[in-house]
Amino acid sequence: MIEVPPNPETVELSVPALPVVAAAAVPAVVLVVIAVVVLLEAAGRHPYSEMPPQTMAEAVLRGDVATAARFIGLGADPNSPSAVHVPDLGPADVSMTPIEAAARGGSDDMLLFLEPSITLSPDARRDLVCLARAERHANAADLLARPLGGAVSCDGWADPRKHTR
Amino acid sequence: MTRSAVLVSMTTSVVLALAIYAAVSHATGRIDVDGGRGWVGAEAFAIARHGLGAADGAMRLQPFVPLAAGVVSRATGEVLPAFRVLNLAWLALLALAADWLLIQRGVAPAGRVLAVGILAGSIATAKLAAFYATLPWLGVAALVMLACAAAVADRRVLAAAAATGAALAAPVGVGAAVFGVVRDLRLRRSRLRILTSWIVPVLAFAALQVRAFVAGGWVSLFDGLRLWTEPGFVAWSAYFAISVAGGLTLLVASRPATIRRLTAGEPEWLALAAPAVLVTVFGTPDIWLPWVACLPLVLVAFAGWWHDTLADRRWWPVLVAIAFTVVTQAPLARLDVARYFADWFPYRVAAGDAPVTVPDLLALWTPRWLLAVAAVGACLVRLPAMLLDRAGLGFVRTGASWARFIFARLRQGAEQGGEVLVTAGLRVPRGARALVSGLSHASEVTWPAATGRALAIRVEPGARLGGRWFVVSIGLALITAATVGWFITGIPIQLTDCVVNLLDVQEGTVWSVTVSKSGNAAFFRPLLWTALKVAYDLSGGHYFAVFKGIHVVQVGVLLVLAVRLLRPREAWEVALVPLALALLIGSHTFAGMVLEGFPINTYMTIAICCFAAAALSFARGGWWIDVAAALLCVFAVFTVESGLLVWVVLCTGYLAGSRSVSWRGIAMTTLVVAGYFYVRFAVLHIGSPGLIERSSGFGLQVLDPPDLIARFGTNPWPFYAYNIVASVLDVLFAEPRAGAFVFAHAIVGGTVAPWMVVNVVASTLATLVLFRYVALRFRRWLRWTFDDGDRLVLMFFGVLAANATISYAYTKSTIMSPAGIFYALAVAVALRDWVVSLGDTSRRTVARAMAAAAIVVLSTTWSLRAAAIHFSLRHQGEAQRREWAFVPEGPETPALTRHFKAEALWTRPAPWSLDLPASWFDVTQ
Repeated sequence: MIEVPPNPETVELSVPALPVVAAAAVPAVVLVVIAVVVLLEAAGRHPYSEMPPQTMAEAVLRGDVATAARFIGLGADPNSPSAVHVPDLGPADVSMTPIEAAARGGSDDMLLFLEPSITLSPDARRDLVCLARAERHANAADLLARPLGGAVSCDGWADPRKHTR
Repeated sequence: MTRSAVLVSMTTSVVLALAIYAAVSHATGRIDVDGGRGWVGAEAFAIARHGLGAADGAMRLQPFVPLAAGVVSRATGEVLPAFRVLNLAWLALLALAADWLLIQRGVAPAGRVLAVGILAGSIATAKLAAFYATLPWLGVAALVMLACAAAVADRRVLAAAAATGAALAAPVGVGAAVFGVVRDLRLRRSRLRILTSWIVPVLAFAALQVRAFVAGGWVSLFDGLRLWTEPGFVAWSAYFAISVAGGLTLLVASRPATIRRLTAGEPEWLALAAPAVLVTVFGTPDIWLPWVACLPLVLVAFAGWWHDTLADRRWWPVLVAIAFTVVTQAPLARLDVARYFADWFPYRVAAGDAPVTVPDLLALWTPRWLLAVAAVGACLVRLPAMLLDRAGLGFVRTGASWARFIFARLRQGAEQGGEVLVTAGLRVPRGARALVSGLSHASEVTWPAATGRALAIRVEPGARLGGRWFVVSIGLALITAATVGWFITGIPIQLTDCVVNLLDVQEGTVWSVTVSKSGNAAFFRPLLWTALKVAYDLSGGHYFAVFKGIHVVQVGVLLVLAVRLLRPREAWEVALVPLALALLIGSHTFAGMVLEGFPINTYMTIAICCFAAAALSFARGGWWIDVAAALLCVFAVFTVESGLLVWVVLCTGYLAGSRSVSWRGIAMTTLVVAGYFYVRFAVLHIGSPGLIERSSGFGLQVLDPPDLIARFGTNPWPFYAYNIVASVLDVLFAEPRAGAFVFAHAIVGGTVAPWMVVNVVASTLATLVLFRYVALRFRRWLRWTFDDGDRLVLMFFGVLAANATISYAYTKSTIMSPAGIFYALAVAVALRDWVVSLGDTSRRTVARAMAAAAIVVLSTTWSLRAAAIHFSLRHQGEAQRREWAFVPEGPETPALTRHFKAEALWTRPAPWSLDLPASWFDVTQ
């Protein structure tokens, strides 16, 4: 039979603190932060989430097809302009149609989604094709150019919004 | 006590209770809402008259009492009198069971009379039933009390029957069954006995929950949490906590040490209260109603108080208790609707959720709060002794202190093994012995010489002891699972690979779906469809709730099993658990288990099966372990092909020396696997996936099936070999991914993103830690000597090899998820070993500092990966929502599809993506 000394303080294992702290600190902090975020979200706050789009044009610019569909479902006109903030165009919000926002945003999905519900004149469409090209969205430009048939020339075209700044 | 004395005592208690009830009932009056039926009366009457099918509101979860009233109404002719007659019976039963319980706790007749008398005069029992007859709470109290008393007396059939009734009478009533299970586990009764005793109430409870859930969907638990931010709610909760059973709760509350000793020695009483505590924690405006199920706990705590008080020869607290009951319970005060709410449900009045307004509510309640504080203070005469205990000067005063004392010795003794003399000349409280037994594992600690004044314990060499830290680790796993689960619920039911599956199981029976879907040209997964069909049918239209619920529970089970396999026993090991969990959820092989739902994620199912198989390998053995292993194997292999890895886990464990699953179990599972191959290849002639099934990575690119056929159509073996090697490297180094060298390609193209570096560095570093462990242990393994950590590491290598082999046809990180989860455990074991080795002071300081720095890099990169899975989940939610926007809504679109589209876009839109630097988080997984 083994008789052990009565002092319970002497029986702790000698595990070095430094590597334990090194291994534990960051994962523990991350776990706590995520848990706090979840609790805040459960309480209705979303401190680390993106702000939801406030207008149809903003949803389109961000390529958020589902929110664009919600706006249309709520009665928004896909041909009417609405306010949107475009960093390249200055600090103030500008008003633009969803299809123009789509050309600036360059989301193929968005263009496919909007195309059936918009009306565009050939000149307006040409402008949008050129806009998409200027924004380096080649696929979006091709999608927009498809109803025009032949090749679209953008020689001499300039973005009017940037031009007027 | 003689049988006749017991009968006399019980009869006295019943008569006393009924007499008090008669007085209380006469004085209190009856509710006048809806002709005396009250607000729940219509539904209760419907259940009484037409059975369970008539339940459509709150009584769905509380049908037992109305059903019993329905039976009684056949004799009374009317339903309301039936409820009143039944309440008399419930009260008599409550008094009888309370008396029985107190007799078993050794309480003298005076104590029993006091307790039963106070109970019968309290709002929680007699007064509420007298005023509002259709409520079920008196029945709940009686049934729970009877179940506990019978369980303590080991009258198992009676206990199980009462527990079943309690579980059907109210959700918190399931505490009686939980009580029985925990008590049996503490007393080390056989699992078969436990199962047969308590399976019925648990199943009854589960069936009721599922039925109610299917009919009504989820209730948001978190809504109630906000109640705790309101001072009034907290103050009322505190008041009712010490007064719900009148003076009994006051006496119990005045001696925390008694409760501590009771719950430490007999934790089943805490288990009894667990459901009520959960309901309370999540906040209910009917503050004290769930606590009715805790009355047996109050009684046994009172029994402890009684013995302590008798020892101290102090009787005046009894008088305080009686006075407190009269003042707080007002048993003879008349009630009407306004007083009913103002006195007993004041928070509803304050919140404007009652049919009455009470303008002077605070003026009414302030004296009561002050009275409660004064009464508790008056009873806290043992405060100095408690403070001494808190200061550590009251060593060995309580069972908990004893347990710490014993554990300290056991830990030291475990290093050498053998029989450890823990104490000599000191009497060890029974509660302390019970606590140590409960927290230890039977295979590690036995009690050969637990006599009154000496305690010796046999400890296996190297036994790992400890309990509370393991519980903390489980808590960490559950928190992690909750966070992942929260983000999973942010993803809509996905369109691809999910809705089609659901459309396929809409028609037919479970059997017909299982048979018709049993196999196609390349896959044999009958139980996958069985599970899908069963969940679909049970959902009752609440598809999102059911399928996401299953997914979240799966995550919880997986993480808890992971912690169970790692078995952290010390504080420093618990500190490593968050990193171990990060290794698990941060892996790219884990992502597919949570990002997608089919709608039941079978990758996750198989991962759980693999961990369960490992847990069976580490269990205590026995015939039922063998049977469980065989059943697990059947379920896994007939669910999806990677279920074969369950057999690999079991065999690897056996080869590494684990004998929990015996050779018979291994033989049975081998037969299962052989049967699977026979059915698949010889009977159903289902082949294996070929080159035309999917695209697959190869080198720096991804090849589509036509390219694969063009390149490997005549000789696929080099491609298969490449896939096996790529799968192994994928797990160990996070590169290549799905066969394609993504990181290398990004370096060549100059498009390296931070997340790529994080992934590769994290995996490579972790793999190096693992290789270090293997190198150090290899010689020992050659001598066929293994501990549990070694077995986990060997299981990983076994699963890795087998997993990669069955992925020969095409590679995909998710397919390697079983290997990925064992990789996390293996690295955690290796890391634990490395950390301990750094305590060797003979090493140079610089080397130890460098090792610590490497550990920081390892933990930081894996933490980023763990955070990335949350980021990916949110990103996935947005992607799924976007996909639904393109689904047409014409008449040809199935109704189920339209339902999911409406849910994704309108009723349950996914939350917005996290506004964090996306380049650091891998969303390609």
